Amino acid sequence: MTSPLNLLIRLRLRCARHAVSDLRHHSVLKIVVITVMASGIWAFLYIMFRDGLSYLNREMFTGFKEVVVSVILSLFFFTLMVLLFFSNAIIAYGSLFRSQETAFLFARPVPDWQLYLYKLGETLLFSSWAFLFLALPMIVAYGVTQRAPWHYYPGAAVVFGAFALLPAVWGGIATLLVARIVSGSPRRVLATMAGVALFGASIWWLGILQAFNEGMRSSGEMWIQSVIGHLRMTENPLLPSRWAAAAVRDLAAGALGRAWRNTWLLLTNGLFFGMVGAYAARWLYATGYQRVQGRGGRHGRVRTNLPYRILERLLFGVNTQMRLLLVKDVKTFLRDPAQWSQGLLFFGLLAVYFSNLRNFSYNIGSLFWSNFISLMNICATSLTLSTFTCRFIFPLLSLEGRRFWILGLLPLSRRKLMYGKFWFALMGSFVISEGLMILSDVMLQVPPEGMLLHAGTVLMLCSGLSGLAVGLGAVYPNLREDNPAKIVSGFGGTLNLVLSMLYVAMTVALAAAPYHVSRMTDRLTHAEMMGRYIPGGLMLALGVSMAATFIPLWLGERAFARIES
Amino acid sequence: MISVEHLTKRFGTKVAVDDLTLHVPAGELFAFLGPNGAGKTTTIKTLVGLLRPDAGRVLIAGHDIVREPIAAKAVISYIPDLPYLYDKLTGREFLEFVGRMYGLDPARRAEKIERLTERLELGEFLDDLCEQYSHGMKQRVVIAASLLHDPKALIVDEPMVGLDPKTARVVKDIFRELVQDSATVFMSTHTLSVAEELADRIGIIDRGRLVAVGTLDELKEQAGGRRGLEEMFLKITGREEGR
Repeated sequence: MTSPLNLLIRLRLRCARHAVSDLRHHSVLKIVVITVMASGIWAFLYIMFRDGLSYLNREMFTGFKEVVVSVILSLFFFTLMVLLFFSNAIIAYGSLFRSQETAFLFARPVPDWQLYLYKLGETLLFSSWAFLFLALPMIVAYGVTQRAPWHYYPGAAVVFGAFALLPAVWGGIATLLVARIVSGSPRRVLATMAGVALFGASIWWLGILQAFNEGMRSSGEMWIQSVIGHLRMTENPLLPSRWAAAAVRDLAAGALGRAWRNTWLLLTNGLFFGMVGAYAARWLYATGYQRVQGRGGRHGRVRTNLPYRILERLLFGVNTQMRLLLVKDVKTFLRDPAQWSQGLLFFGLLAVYFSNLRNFSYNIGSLFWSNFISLMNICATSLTLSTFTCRFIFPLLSLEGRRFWILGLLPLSRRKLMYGKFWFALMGSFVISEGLMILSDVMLQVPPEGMLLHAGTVLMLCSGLSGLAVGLGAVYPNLREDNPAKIVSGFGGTLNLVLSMLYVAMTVALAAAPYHVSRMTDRLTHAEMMGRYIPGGLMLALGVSMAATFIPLWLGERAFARIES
Repeated sequence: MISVEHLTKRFGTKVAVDDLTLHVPAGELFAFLGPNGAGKTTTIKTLVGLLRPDAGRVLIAGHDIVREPIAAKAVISYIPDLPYLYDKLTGREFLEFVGRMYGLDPARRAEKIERLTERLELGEFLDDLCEQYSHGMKQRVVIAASLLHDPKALIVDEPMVGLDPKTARVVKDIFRELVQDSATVFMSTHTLSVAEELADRIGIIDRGRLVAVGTLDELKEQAGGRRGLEEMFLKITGREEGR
């Protein structure tokens, strides 16, 4: 009799084959757009890494080049390892303990350890491919700048495969332990662990920025040494990320023996911990699964509705149905920690960074630096905001899918339903991002006209990003899916992400950049700047923002009116 | 065949199933009734090993579902209230997969699939991807999958939801035939007429406790001579005044 694990793997391959042959039924345009977008992102990353590495190869870094490149590679793999660990752990939790398939398979005669390995393999593929896709340009760029031999490229792919294994099996073991041992919600515990790690990383990063800042006032050599000193911990020989970095470096240098030794180290450790995980699954998986299913009771009760009642009062001017929809969306969002905690994490990190700006003395330094940092801050806030609207706002209408009959039966037009989501997105995003911008401006002592300009830019960005996310969410809904991560990873979600990034770049370039660039370069007079460039840029940005807001909403309204559920 | 001994299951501070003891012998169709939130699905999920008892134990054909899960699961089948299928498989591939999972040899598998396809009228859509199925179609495929390995105990949560009257009749006939072949059917349902029509014995659970168990006649007696199962159910669960 074929082992269940073997059967399950064959089943997955069969599903994948059907999914691929199903592509024939998708529109050619959709496939072309996805391919072009993916290639574009890939090419952009490649050029960025190649130019960065070529810059380090220049003469000014003679004597430092090897050290700097080595540290960069170690840092790159270290970051990747931490991200892969948490991504695997969080996805493994959903896959091992919450999926419908697991419930189905648990009621069949499948040994626990085989079920665990099957789901872990699925997790590994699901969580690692995107990271590897984004990491590949760096590896190719490194090979090109180092003039690596041809066998570097297939060799680096093998190193990557071996490297991805360890964070995945560690993530799987961590999930098993958390589900079995911790009494609270495992997803919450894992998310908290990821939050703590990210917070620690941000403190570490602030230290590096501080060193960077201090170093700029000293000699070039001191500066590089100071920054490298902070990054040395990624070169610890016990870290698998270091083995991967060394293997890639050796491959590029043609030292195949050393490269193979480090790859072997990654592979054997990955397989060893895989076995440890499978063994642990015999003892922990079934009991952990039953504990997770049996958990509950304490968290389900709503303690107070007061904040929502206050919110409803605050929205006194808004039409009753719209008001009810807004409050429902706010409640749904705030009662799901998986949703708000991610937003809080990213915006919280920005807030920590902005509050520390004065430690770097940007506010009393040159106009160049205070304006440069201010412009970077508005970029960072807008990009975080676009991630937020892509991840949380875009799937909102799709998530109504399984409950569509509830809203469908209400005496409420679909237009109103869609605009309810838009106002929810606009209000929520404006409160958060404007708060952050005010914090940054106060810390950098930006003059009032700059603050006003930032407020206008942020309002335009919130409107455009909300319009794009809600409108495209209605044009490309996935009413059968309950998992927002899967909704976002579809065609509509990808299109929304790319358009949002482009829109942010255009709006910041048109609305905020002229003001800051003119102050940084000092080439334009105040009158020229205020009389010509800034109003012109603002008008153009307003036009782009209106288009980004109303065109997707108009398209969404038409598409949403035709949806049958 | 199914032995539940002093089963208790809690969710946090809420006791979902409270000291439940029940024996369902081979060759019996047992209907498990109860109001919403009474503990029916929790009991069923514990019977099939998806939940772990906080106290007590569950034996399936003599195998403890916690200590010997593989042996116990090899002889049971479970039909959940929400049918799960792999979207990117066809119904036939799904049935093949389940048949192989239980170690059925190819000839027997093909013969069983053929027979069930005919009986449940799956032929028209069995080679389409499951993502295109309606709820009722999915339910029919899940029922077919659950019968492939001739289970000794079939545990069913709300079997008739989404089925058209003709298929519902076929499913009822299948359940009775299983029982005649000495298998056990443990069925939770809200459709009292189905329980009344099919069940050899009926158990009523309320607030986690088994408040009544017996044949229809025994329950009538217990409920003070009420005539229909609906009246008895309302009387026993104390919801009569709510009518």
